[in-house]
Amino acid sequence: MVKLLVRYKPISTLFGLLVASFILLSVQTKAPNPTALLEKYALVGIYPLQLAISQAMDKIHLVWKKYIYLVNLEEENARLREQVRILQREKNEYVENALAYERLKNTLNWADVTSLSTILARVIGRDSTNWASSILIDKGSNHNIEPNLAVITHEGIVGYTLSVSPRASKVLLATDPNCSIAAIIQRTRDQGVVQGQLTNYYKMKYLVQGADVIEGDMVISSGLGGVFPKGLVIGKIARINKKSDGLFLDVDIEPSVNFSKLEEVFVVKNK
Amino acid sequence: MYFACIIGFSLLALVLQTTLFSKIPINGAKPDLILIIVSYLSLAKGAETGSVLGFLLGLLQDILSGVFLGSNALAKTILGFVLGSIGKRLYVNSLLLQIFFVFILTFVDEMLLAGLALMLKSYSTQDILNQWIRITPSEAIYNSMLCPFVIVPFKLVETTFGSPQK
Repeated sequence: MVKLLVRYKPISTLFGLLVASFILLSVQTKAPNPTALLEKYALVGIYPLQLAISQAMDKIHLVWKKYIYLVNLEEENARLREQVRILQREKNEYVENALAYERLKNTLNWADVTSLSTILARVIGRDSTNWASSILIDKGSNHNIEPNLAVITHEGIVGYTLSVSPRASKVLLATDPNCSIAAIIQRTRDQGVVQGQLTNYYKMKYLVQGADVIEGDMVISSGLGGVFPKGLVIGKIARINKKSDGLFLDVDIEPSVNFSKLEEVFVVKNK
Repeated sequence: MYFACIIGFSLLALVLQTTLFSKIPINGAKPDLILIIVSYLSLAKGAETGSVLGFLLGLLQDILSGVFLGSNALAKTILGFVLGSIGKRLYVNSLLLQIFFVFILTFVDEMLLAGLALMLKSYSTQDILNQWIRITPSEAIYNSMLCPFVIVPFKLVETTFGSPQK
């Protein structure tokens, strides 16, 4: 047997490696995931290099923005002054709305989404393939981050922590088909599940045919499932494809977060 | 020393792939520098080394991705073996030939990954097909463009430290 293996060494090596790959792929269907430890130590090893290159890129970008890219500055200043004026007016409106909200919240005992305990983290890497959507952040178990914590920005839901090493964590983005979020339509309170797709839109599943939804309706997390707190923005309805058959509507959701421009995110510590 | 340089370059390529190049996609496609390395080393070093390197570098790539651990390892093991077997019969020092192989290999690699994604993830066949058609040609061009920038440093290492034979 050994002689045979040595004689056909390349074939037996290939066979062994293919078996190892299949074992790795199959054990991940179990929970707890036995490969999590392997991922954790590999992230520990690669983190310093990842961080160094990410920081170097940020510095180059900063130099470019501060010293080289200074065209049309006067025009931009005028535009920004106008924007400040508009924002100040809007701020006053928001303060009024916030006061009204506080009153209503106390009355109805709504969940206080803004009081979530969060950890700020920097994005230091993105997915290495075209078949998944994940990012690497610079905070890990040393900063009390655990797997399955919601990751958000001020725009809305980003994803959740998938694997955690002491100083870095991998976050599965909401755009990945393996990420599902229990959701409700803010206006009508109809419930469903939002799932990532390979396109730029999410798909909302299990929304009943009779639901009174329209394009532009906001979709928020329902809090079911335990990972995402209630009330976080997911996106808005971009398309409703009403099918004559079937029980559910086919709804495309436009994400509220611009995933291509993610730089900093918040990890929600408690739910 | 040669192998230390190979590991160093591969790690650097992987980190650049997830930082710099993921921010500058072409038509939505990110390049796969690990594929270029596996292609070059398999052609140069043979089927056995090709499959082992394919497995290890693919596994490392899986760790920095949201795909199931083992997806890239499996795909690149197969590619490393096949290319290593072909490499025995070819004059592999030509850069043009390397670029040609990287171009073709990108399609095969993405086909294997698409198949695995279909089996393991919640994609529909239509989504997979759309993604493959949308991404793969751009990625193949991107990989081919970056091929000389990856291969030339490897050749320099081989010239400096010598290279173990097939």
